[in-house]
Amino acid sequence: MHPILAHRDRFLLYMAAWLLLAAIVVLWLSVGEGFAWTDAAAFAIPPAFLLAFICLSALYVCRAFPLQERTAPLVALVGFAASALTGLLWALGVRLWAGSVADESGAAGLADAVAGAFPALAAAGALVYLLSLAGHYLLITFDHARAVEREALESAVTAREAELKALKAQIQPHFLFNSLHSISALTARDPAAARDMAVRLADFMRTIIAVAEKTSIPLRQELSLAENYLAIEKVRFGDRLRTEVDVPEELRALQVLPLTLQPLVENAVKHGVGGLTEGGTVSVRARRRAGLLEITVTNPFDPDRERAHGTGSGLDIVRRRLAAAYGREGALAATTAAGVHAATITMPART
Amino acid sequence: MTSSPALRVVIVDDEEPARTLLREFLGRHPDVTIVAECANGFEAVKAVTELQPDVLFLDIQMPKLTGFEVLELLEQPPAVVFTTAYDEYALKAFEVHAVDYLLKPFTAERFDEALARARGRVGRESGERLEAAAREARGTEGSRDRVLIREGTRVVVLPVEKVDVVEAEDDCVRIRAEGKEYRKQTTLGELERMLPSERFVRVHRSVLLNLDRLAKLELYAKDSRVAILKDGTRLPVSRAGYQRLKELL
Repeated sequence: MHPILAHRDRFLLYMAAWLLLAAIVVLWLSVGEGFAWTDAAAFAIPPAFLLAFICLSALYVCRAFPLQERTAPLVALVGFAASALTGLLWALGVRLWAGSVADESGAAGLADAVAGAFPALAAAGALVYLLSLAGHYLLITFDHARAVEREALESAVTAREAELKALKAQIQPHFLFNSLHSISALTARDPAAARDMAVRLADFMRTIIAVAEKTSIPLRQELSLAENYLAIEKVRFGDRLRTEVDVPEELRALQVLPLTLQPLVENAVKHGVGGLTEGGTVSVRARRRAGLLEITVTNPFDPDRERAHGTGSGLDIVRRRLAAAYGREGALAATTAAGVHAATITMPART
Repeated sequence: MTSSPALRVVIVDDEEPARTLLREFLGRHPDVTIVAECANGFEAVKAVTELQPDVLFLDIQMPKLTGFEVLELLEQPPAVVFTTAYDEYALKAFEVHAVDYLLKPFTAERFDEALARARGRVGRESGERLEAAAREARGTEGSRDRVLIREGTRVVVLPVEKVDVVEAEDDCVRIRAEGKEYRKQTTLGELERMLPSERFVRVHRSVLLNLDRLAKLELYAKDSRVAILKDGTRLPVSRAGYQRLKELL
């Protein structure tokens, strides 16, 4: 659809501008040249509106020769040729029209004047068409920019929705079911431990849901989430799961993106230590370096099983979220060496 | 219940609380004897092979071997009850003729039901049928990244890229890898289905070849060729095998 015809206010503005132009011509013909008001109006207004509609066709020229895809000389050549042709045809039309108006009203001078000013009329028509072309190119560019902006906004909204979905998926149902199974097992042998685990599990779930909505939380809170998770898994895995946390006190107040450390720790248990018969140590270490906060989670893994599990999309989500939140300062790097997997998240050290 | 012969049971779960729960639930049945408790797949294969229990309670996600892989390695598997928090394996469990599939957490009543089913199966099942179940377990998985071999009670895990050649023998296959030879109770066709088809080619009716080991092909007689491997081994290539090779190379 034509960008001017499609919008009512644009169309009205456009027609008003042409009406003004026609009025100026009528004024000039009647006051300046001494023709009768009625003759001047009958002569000037229809050609003006004819040109108004002809000028709208410039859109199709613009579409056929888009600025981004065609070379500038070609666009210019096509523009000038189309303008010259339009001007010429329009001037011819005006001349015929003036003749018929003159025949009816007897204002022969008008027809003569138009015939005399034919080259000027053609030039004026061409110029107006050229202006219309430029205007249309401008309009197309403007609409295009707006569409790009809207698309960016829409994709941001979709990304946000995907993120929320991902966060919900973070609460692994298997983890939940296995934990409930452990609680069920503990009830007969060690009721106090069962109760303790039920409370920890509730704490964990509650915190996950609460922090998922936030854009940043203190590292202290993210760490306690991870520690809660590890404590629950320790009941399941027993001595096989050992943990080490090395996070200096002064770093614990820094603000971090929520649910970034937790998935790393979960991965370390699920795809690392959980796959080892003899178990291993999951260690969490945080350091400040050049204005950045670096948190590293390391864990041993069974090299035989590495590919069987695949390094889940969980880490991919963390990586994308870090990039979205901190740009180039947010990153997740994972390395594997000598049976040990290390994942490091980096973000600006902000309080 | 007490009149039936004693039921010998093996418990396999890598999580201690889960084993405790099974022990507790089994404790209510006086005729049941727990002959072994295993915390991983290797132990399970060893225990079942040595002790030949009647019933096996088997977790699925475990270190080293999954429950399905354990079943694949058993020649005469007992009645199997899977116990897992994952409901997505239920279909597969029944494909391998599991007696029951207990979703964690489960109640004592649900457990008793599974045990009763296993008990029923123990009396009726012929060895042949259970062997078929194990065969089924071998065939259910698509392309895999490792081959499991049982040598007595020991399990060998071979990553597929380490396998050089597989050759058919009477009732098993001979797998050559890292300068050693292993025998596995399966057919060449089954192994061909299991191994990644972009890497392993059936160059001959009785030879499955890892493409990475191929050095060159030589014309041997009018329609037959010989594959020469990087270590110098010569293997027969049939006409159909040559066609398959040409398609991949």
